[in-house]
Amino acid sequence: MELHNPAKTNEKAVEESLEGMPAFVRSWRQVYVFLLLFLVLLVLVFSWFSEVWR
Amino acid sequence: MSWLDWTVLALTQLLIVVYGVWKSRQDRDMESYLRSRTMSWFTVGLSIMATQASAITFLSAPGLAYEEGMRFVQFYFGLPIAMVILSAFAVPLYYRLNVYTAYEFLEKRFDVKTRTLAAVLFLTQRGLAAGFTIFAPSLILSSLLGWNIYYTNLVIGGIVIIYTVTGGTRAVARTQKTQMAIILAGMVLAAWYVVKGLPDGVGMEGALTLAGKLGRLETIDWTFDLENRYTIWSGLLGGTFLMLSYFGTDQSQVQRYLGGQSIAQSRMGLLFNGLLKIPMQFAILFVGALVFAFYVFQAPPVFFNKVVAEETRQGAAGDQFVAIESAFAEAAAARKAAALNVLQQPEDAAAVEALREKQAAVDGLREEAKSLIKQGNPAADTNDINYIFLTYVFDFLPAGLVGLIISVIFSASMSSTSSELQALASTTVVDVYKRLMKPAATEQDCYQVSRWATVGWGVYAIIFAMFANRLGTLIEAVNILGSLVYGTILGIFMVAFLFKQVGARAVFLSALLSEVLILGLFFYSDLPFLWYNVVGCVVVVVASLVGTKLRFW
Repeated sequence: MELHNPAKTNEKAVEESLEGMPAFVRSWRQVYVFLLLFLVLLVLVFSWFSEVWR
Repeated sequence: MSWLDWTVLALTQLLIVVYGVWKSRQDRDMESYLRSRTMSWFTVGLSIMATQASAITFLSAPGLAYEEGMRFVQFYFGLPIAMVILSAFAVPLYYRLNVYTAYEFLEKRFDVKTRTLAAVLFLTQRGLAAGFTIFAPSLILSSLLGWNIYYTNLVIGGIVIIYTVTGGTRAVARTQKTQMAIILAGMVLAAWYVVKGLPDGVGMEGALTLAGKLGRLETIDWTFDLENRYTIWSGLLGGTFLMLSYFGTDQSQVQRYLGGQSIAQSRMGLLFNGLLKIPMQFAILFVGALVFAFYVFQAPPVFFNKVVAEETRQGAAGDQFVAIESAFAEAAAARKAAALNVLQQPEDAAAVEALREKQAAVDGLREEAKSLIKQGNPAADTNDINYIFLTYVFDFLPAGLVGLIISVIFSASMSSTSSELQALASTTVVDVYKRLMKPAATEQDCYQVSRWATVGWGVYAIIFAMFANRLGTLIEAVNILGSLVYGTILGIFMVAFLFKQVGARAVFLSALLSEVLILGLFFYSDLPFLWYNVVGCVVVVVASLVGTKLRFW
């Protein structure tokens, strides 16, 4: 039987803490996905920018 | 430089140093000197960005855009991906283990031998790189302003040593915050002034039209070409590995985000860097594209390094060089006429084609001038990209703003150097002094030794910067030296993170094998040195895995 380990649970909570983030952010995964989508957006914007002035 | 420029330069530098030292005057122990877990995500993020952006970033990038367009921005596409990976895996691990340096993790995962090997490889490479960070801007400033390079090295290195030793990590981070503000203000003002300096009726739209038609606004290259240094694929694939290595295993960066108040603040600092770095680099390159458009209307010099150009003019091929300069001035005037024609009818394909032909003539004459310089002095550096932006600054910006731009260069150089000195000091104290020489050392002992180590590494960097002036090829040697060790360090960390079945003996012997192989390649092959990074990493990972599987190690 696996026993509940409070120290481990606390460590996990500290690692997942979103302290300082806006209230609508629910997890770090959301932030990571946002950053990667931002990268895709930048690539598209840069492509458009070069095309417009070519 | 006018008295106003000197005043702006002196005041901004004084403000930065006094503010940083005053805000961190309470830090008098090892914890706050080397790590100081008190910083907000904003300070961590700016500190990370300031560490990465050296003076050469602000001198080279606009020059690159002037010469080749803005494709260099793709080099940073791997950075957000690396920030996500490090935030998810490396940051919680370093916090959980409560480490001061990245190399402490290697002892916890493997053994003391592996930790010491990685620390020594880092100290060797980063010690010389710190000297180069001081030397590179000193060389350019001494060439353009006639300053004595030894005094420039001493001033930049001396100021950094004073505030790093006095205030520690928090002083470094706080000064970096102010330095970033000065850097951004300087670049924005410079961009505004370029546009303001364009002829009446041209403006921003005209500048963009010309820069775009002449290929200076090209950003994305979708071709898969291994010969081409900057494509979206090299940025995404190679860039991710490079940034993982730099931000995940280089103590000068690890120390920055370990200074966060909490895991969340450190993560946010890293992700803030991932969010802002590409737009910031785009903006710096954009300034270079604007400077290019500006020089369409103001005839540029055929070669931007004035000292080398003058040497050629005075040399055996002086007459030929003067003839090229004269032809270049005529070609630039013809380009200006074609540019004005394009601005009147931007959709006219014939007008655009004529402009491109004139640009090709200008480029051709520049290449001829470079060949002539090389003929006259085979040791001369014909790459003048680093001099383009500063030539514009000195020739066209008003008094006061020139001082601010010099302050930008000083700030960028010092912000990188201070992080490097701190990282060298912490690795020396934590991984060598306390671990190997005096395990019973108290916190106060370590604090004092850290300060002396910072001074020692600072003096070492300045001495290297002094010698680098006499031994031009040493600059390339520093880059090669970095490539000789970076791949092996990344390989050790990759095995540590990804392959739990590999033990200490396997990874240590694989790292030694990798170093022997890389040294063999260095002495006995023609492989370009950038590939040593890939070879080193792959050899450590594969040899560790195969050796463990076959029970060979």
